[in-house]
Amino acid sequence: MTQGNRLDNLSWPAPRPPSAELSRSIAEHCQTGLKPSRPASVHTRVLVSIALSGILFGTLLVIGWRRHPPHTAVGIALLGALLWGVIQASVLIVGFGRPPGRRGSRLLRWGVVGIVPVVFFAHLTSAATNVLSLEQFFVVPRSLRSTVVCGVHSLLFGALASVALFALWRRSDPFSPRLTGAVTGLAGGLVGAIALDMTCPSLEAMHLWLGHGLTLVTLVVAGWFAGRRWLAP
Amino acid sequence: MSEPTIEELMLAYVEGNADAFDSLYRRISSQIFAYLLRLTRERARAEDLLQITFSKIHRARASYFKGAPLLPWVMAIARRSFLDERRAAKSRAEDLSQDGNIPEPIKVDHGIPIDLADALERALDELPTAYREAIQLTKIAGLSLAEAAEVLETTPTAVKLRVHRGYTRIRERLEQLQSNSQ
Repeated sequence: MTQGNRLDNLSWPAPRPPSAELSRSIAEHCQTGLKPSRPASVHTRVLVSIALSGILFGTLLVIGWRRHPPHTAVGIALLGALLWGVIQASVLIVGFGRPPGRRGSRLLRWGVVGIVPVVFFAHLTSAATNVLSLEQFFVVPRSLRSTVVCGVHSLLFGALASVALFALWRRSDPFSPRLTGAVTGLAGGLVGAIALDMTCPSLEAMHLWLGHGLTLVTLVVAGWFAGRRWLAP
Repeated sequence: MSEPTIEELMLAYVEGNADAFDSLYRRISSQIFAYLLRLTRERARAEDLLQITFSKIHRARASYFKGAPLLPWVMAIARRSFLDERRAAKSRAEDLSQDGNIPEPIKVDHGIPIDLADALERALDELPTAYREAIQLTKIAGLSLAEAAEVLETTPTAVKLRVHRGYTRIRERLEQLQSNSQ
C-alpha cells in the first residue's frame, strides 16, 4: 500500500462551521433588499464585446480613410475589417468564450497574449519600406510629430475599447484576473492598432513600431495590472 | 424530490430568492471557512475573511455564469480575499515587526496530541501554505485536480505534486508525533 493510500484511509478533519453570530451578520448583509440580478450569458457578452469593438474599429477606420483617401480604399478596408474581425473574435473567444472555472487552458491564453503582439510587430516590420536611424527620427520634426499623433489616436481608441470590455466583464473572473485583464487589453488594443495601421500612410519602421505597435503592448501591460482590480469580484 | 445542487441554489439566489441564500450558506460556508482557517491559521482572521468573501459573492452574483461549477468559483474568491488581505497587511507599517517582516502567526504548543484526528489536524497546520491549501481543496473540500488548479492558478500536475509532497510531510510528522508519545 502506498503512503498516499494510507493517508486517504484516514478521516480528514471535518469542516468547522463559522459562529452563529457571524452567520447572522452575513445573512443580514446578503439578504437585505435582495433583488433579482439577471446576468447576461457568456455568448451574449462575447457577441456584445465583438460588436462594441467593431463599432469603435469602424469609427476609427472612417476617420482614418477620410483623412487619407487611397485609391483602393474600400477593398483594403473590407479586407482589413475581415482580418481584424477574425483576430478579435479569436482573442475574445479564447479569453472569455467559456465561463470561469471551465475556461480554456491558461497556456492557450498566455499563448494568445504573447503571440498576437509578436505577430503584429512582425507584420509592421515587414510592411516598413524605409528605416530612419534613431538620430534622424528624433531630428526630423515631422516624423516624430506624426508618430505621437498616431500613438495618441491608437491608444485613445484602444483604451476606449478596453474600458468598454472591462465594464462588460467586470467582476467575472476570480481565477486569473490578471491574465484575463491582459487578454482584455489585447482585445482593446487591437481595435486601435490595426485600424490605425490600415489608415496611416507612413511606412517608416520607427513610426510603425512606436506609433502603432507600442499601443498594443501598453494596453496588454495596463490590462494585466487593471485586471486584479476590475475583473476579480 | 432530490435536493437542489449548490449551483441551482446559487441561480435562485441570483434571482433574488433569500431562502435559497440560507440553504446555500448552510451548504458551503463550512467549506469556505475551513479553507480560510487553513490559510490563516487564525479564527478571527478567518471569520473576517469569510465575511469579506460573502460580501464579494453578493456583489458579484450577477457575474456568476449559469452552468459553471460553484465551489471553485467561491473558493477562488475566498483565496483572492486572503491574498488581498495579506497584501494590505504587508503594506501596513504597524503589522511589521522591527526587522520589517510580517510576523508569523504564533504557534501554540498543544503538547502530545490526544488522538489521530488531533495529530492529523496539527500535521496539516504545520505544512507550508502551498501544500496545505492543495490538500484542503482536493481532499477535504472535494474539488477535482483541475478545479483546484484553477483556484490556485497553477496546473493540475502541480496540484498533484503539492498534495503528494504534503502527504509525505504529514506522514513524517505523524510518525514523529507517534514516537514522541510513546
